[in-house]
Amino acid sequence: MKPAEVSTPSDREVLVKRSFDAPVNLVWQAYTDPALMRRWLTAMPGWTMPVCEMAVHAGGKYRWRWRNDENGQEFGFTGEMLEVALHSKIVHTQIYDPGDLGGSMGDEPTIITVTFNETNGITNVATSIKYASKADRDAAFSTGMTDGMEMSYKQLDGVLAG
Amino acid sequence: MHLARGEASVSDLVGLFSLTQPTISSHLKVLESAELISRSRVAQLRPCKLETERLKAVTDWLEQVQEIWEGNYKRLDALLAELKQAQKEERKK
Repeated sequence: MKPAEVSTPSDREVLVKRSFDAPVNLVWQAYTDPALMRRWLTAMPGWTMPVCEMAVHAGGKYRWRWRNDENGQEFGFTGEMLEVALHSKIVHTQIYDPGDLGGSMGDEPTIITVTFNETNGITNVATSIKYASKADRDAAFSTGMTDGMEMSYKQLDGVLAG
Repeated sequence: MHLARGEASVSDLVGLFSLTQPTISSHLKVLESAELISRSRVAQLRPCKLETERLKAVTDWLEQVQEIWEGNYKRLDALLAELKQAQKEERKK
């Protein structure tokens, strides 16, 4: 499958598109069964997802938390399901919990919309991340940059140690 | 990417593209609001300058977002292959 495509349809939105070689019912399962989700949504190399709780229905809450196995740092996301349409769409709010990783992604919840669309056994998934304001987008932007830098330093450490 | 070579005015840019002045101006407005170009004021002219650092910071961030998601999606590919296989075996029974 072609690598994920990232675009910015507006100054407070990021859109990620990717296709999967599987029918929509299986992709849906991987997105809605916490036991399956924590196997793939591990965020970054060296991180695991010890907490993955979600009630997949409108009004249901979820809690995701990641942990760096090397230094024990944690961060997470929490939120509420706004809309759940079987095999087609999930809309939820998202609040960043900096844990001991730090950073900010703005004060207002981000709105995440995931749509699923199957054609001939291939499922296209589009994820829209809509920040409440351009200022929140910029906060996510600077948090992302710091984490990314730290990540590459760690990789560099690994190279130097090896 | 004419601006990569230096500042330019709207009329410079109109001369380069087969677009009307209002069209060029509206494109510039979008780039300016995204802080990808900056515009100064010299008398009536408003020369445009490409904000290369900002542009690089934005593309670096998007690249990083892409890497994180693609990492997750590769694991999802593997999981889906596993689920497909399990479903196939289930059907055989």
